[in-house]
Amino acid sequence: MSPIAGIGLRAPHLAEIARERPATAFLEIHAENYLSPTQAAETIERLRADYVFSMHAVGLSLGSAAGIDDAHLDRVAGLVKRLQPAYVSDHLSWSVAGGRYFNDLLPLPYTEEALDVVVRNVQRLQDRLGRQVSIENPSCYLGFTHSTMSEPEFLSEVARRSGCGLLLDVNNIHVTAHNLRLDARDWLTLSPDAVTQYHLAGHAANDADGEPILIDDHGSRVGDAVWTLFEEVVRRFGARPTLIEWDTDIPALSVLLDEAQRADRALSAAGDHAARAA
Amino acid sequence: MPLALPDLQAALADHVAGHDRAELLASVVGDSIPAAARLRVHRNHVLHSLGTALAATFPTVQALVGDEFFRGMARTFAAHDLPTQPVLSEYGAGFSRFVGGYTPARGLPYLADIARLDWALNVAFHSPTEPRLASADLASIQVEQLPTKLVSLAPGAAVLRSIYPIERIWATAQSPASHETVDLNSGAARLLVLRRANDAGFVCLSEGEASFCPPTAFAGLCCGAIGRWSTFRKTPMIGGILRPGFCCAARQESERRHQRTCGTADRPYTPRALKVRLSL
Repeated sequence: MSPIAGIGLRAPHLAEIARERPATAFLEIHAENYLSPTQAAETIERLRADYVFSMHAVGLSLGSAAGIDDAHLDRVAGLVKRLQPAYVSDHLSWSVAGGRYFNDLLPLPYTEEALDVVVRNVQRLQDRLGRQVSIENPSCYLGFTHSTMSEPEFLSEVARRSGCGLLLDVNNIHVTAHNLRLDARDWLTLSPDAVTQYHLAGHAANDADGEPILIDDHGSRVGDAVWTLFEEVVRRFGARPTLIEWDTDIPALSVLLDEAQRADRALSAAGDHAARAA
Repeated sequence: MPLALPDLQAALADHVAGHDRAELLASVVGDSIPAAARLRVHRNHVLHSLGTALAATFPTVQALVGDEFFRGMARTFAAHDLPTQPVLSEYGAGFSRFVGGYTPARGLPYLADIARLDWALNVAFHSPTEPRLASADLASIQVEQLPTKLVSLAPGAAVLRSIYPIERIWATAQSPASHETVDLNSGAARLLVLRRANDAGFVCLSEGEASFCPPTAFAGLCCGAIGRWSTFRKTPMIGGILRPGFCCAARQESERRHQRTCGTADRPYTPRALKVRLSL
């Protein structure tokens, strides 16, 4: 099987990747880091000749009741037009309210009201870009008492009503399930047809009033429990483009490539398992 | 009655920004980790991550005051001046003013000017790389074209003034191991900040150059307002500005626009008017 795991392209590795052109299935960038015409943005455009790109936005705030900010949407659309990435995604969360931007993926209550908001915003994004986007499940540290759906039920409805894809962040499933006392296998009930990508990352354990709480910090290798869950996910949904994310305490590029190779081995093994089962 | 989504988001936004909203506690599931502790995760993340973003934009300020002091200052700033959009490299326009009024930093009277320099370098770095005028380009402009020609400073360029020698303070901060001391009374600074090929930097200007130079990025220099090209090129006060790579291509203006922006023989333009003029 050809490699289908890619890595996040972060500033400390940009020069090395531009120089060495290491083999990887794709490079992922955060849209908000390349909206200014910096040298880094110019380098990215040159790398297009050699790499498939995935554009992952973190600031469209698809869960904002007030809708998507027009100016930011225009800038992201301009970048999509220039880069022509193979994949475009953002999160099931919100980060803008009252004209203030919070550099966080804030949680939504899973209600019909929130569902209408997310579906409307995702449809607007897809209409503006003229393409399908994928929505990523967030890492949650809290749940709302008035939620009427589980997260997988909510995600399924967003995908069904808007036609978007679902980006399953397996680390986020693990973190959310731990923090909200849920069963990670609940996410395996999603429809395979809707699942378009996977993300993998490391997490940290912090203390919250004496209780451990997992923090999605993207600052270490993928944990063993997440690899185990990833194997289950791939057996359930099949092989999909898979990203290794690493955003804090960024290690040598070789470490990211090593993690991507491990993901490819897991994807391949799960594929063999599925073939035998068939 | 659960909060409607707009109200819930407004309340959570306030809470994350540091203003406790008690009504949220009833909306958040608490168990062995209480609702308040769960909410605190988001508050801490937002203020910490914005501090990290500010540290990336104001590295010289951080180097001068140390990480712990900077984190406290940035957290206080962020709680009152959150970003208005998601591009964090564009966040921090108000930081230098805040630093100037930050009581714990009052022993460092130059710190606000260093913050202005860091911000100017950041703005220049994130500005477009339009083709710059080389020596040959500057020499090729014909005298008869002068009345309708403009030379613009490169996008993102800015002139900074300080009563402190901030260029020397900045240089010292780049070498943490340096034990060099800077005499704060050793002279004022006049800096032209602009984007270079791979980064942003600055050059020191004379008083004459600085007084001539438009103080804001994207302002333009109108050749026709200055007089004959031969004089223009030889004027010492702009020698520091019209260096190869500092300016962008001169462009033809319409006569009407030229008169509006640069004046006419009856109502001559004065260099001070450049302060409010935008680039082409």
